[in-house]
Amino acid sequence: MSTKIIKHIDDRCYACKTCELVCSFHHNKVFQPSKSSISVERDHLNGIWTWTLNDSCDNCENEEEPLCVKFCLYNAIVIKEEED
Amino acid sequence: MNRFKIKGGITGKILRVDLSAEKVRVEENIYAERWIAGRALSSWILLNEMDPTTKWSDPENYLIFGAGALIGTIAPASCRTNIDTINVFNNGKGSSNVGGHFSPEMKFAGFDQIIIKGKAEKPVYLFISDGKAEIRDASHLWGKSTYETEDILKKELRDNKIEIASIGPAGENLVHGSAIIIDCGRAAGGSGVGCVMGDKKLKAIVVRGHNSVKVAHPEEFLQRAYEAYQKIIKRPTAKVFRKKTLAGMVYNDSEQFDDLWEMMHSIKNSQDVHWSREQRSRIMGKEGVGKFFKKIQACYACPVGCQPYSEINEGKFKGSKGLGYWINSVMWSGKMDVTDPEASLRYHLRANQLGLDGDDSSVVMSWAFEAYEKGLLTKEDVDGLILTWGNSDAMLELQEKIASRDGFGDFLADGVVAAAKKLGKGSEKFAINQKGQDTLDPYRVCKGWSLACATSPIAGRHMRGSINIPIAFGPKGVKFNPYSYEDQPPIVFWELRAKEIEDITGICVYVGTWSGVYALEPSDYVELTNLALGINLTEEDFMLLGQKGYNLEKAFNTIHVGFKREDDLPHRRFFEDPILSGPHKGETLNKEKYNSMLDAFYELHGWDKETSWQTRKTLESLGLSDVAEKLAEVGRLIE
Repeated sequence: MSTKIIKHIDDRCYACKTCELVCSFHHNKVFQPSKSSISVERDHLNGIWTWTLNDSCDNCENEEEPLCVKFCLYNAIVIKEEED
Repeated sequence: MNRFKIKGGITGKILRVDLSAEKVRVEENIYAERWIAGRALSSWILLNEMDPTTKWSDPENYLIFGAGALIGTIAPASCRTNIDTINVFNNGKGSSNVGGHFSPEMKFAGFDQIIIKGKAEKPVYLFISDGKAEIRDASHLWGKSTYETEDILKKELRDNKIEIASIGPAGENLVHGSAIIIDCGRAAGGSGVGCVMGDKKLKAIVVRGHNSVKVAHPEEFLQRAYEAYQKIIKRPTAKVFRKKTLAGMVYNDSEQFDDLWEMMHSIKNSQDVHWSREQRSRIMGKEGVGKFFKKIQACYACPVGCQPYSEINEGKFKGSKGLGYWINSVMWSGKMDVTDPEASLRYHLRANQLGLDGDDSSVVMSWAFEAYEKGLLTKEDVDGLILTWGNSDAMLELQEKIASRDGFGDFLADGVVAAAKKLGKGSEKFAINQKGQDTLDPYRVCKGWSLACATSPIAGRHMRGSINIPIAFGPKGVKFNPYSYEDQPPIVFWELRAKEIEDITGICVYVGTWSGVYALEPSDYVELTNLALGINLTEEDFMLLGQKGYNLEKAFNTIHVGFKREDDLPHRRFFEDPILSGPHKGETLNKEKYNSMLDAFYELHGWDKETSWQTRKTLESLGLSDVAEKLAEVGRLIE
């Protein structure tokens, strides 16, 4: 058995937060980062962006592909299949 | 008059803050049904509520932060914040527009617009969250750089997701050319908006919120937004742009950009427009500024990304780091003929830390360099600095002096017109300004750029219709040669309306009609706005709204200052002093041809050619009878 999991590739990320926002849309049909499974934090002074995914992620059930993957045009979010 | 019945997109709330009375108030956004959002809405509030005698430093002056209609949604590059006030250089319309992540959080905090008046007795900051606002003590932040301010606020509020708009020491010291800094690297420059904020003793605005932005047609909107992302990313320029940033893309040393370079620059205080390939190479070649770029950060929901993060890890500027470096940054250095890449980057980063508007400060500094060259200023006059072209140490030292109003820096801190007035000796002949505000822009080579900047209601700034290369958009059937006088007016007239729409929606011009990627256009804005707001605009309606918005800024200037046709002519240098070198050597503007261009421009607007003022007939046809009445009250309406 394999499981599809969402992976973030840090050095491709531009910290635009599109993934965070579109994820909130998936869950609630509104735009609000706190309703998202993703959180993006930006440390402007040191050029560090931190991306985290919490347990509420459902891999975008009922979507052809997870919206964060679809909308990340930097290809920083990908789906990996991992053996259980 | 059209009344939009808006069902989504906006929050429907406006926050009013009175710093003198120490009060905050939330009110319904009754203006959206006429102006939708963003700049046009703020322009209307300023025009409608500001007494014509109010000056920039009066407590009655407003500082308005406005979020566009699509801000907070997934519309691509919907990230811009509009900041409107009275211009500190001329008491006319002041307006600045900046990217980053501030305005989406402002919507999440519950507000479409934040309107600030009054002056605090001691330094304060605003904390705005979830439909509420507090005026908080900022004594501990006063004197701090924008970097330090962000660091302190994030730590004391224990929240890394707050968004901050702050001023640095320059704004606190009422340096006229001060900016408001967002994301520690996005500068809202022009009009002295940072100076107004400093005058109100408002150090920063912090926004944070959990308000949901809802759109009228969620699924259709998401699909249309996705199509817009695809449209952007399919543009060949997008791929280069995101690897190198805009500055990195255009300002490399390849022959491909020779022409563009000549169009953009104002070398040695606008005496010249030309740098040799070798000079360009020093700034943007392999060993140029780009070697300090470490990564790129994008604005909110932007699929392109244009903001480099840089670090200087050795040499005399070791430890300098931060966000941003743009085309303008190269233009600043060019003003003083500085080609040292480390100094150029340092100058940019310090401008952000100090909260200086690099456009304005570079103009007044290069004026001082030229006065020094001409012997009108001596070494003793300028605190022992040696203001020779290309002296990057002097450039950096003078920048610090201006921000702190130290010594000769204080002499320059009110802008180039004030400095030239104090010095005299004919120095006003090269005090490059438009309507009283320092202007960085070039005026001789590209005639459309020149026309748009000279007529801009925000005085010599290029975000009101400027154009320099043929673009895919614009009025149908119009040919475009950037060097000709004849082609420009209809294209400038088109672009200034498109830009107003971009500022109403909050979408960035770099993915839009103006520069960089050239992907989205009014038809995209119309569809996204209709789906988000649940209204039924046509493209023609939206362009008309853009025209109305521009007319509000024009009316504000006419009522408050009385600018006339002569104020729409570029500075005398561009008519009198030929370009010194390069392919355009010897060129000046032709006054007769320029005036023909102005005639055609006024005709497109339906304004009076003799005065440049608006006519009752035109304003009534635009549905702006109330604006006509305001002009009539001060005797400045053409009946």
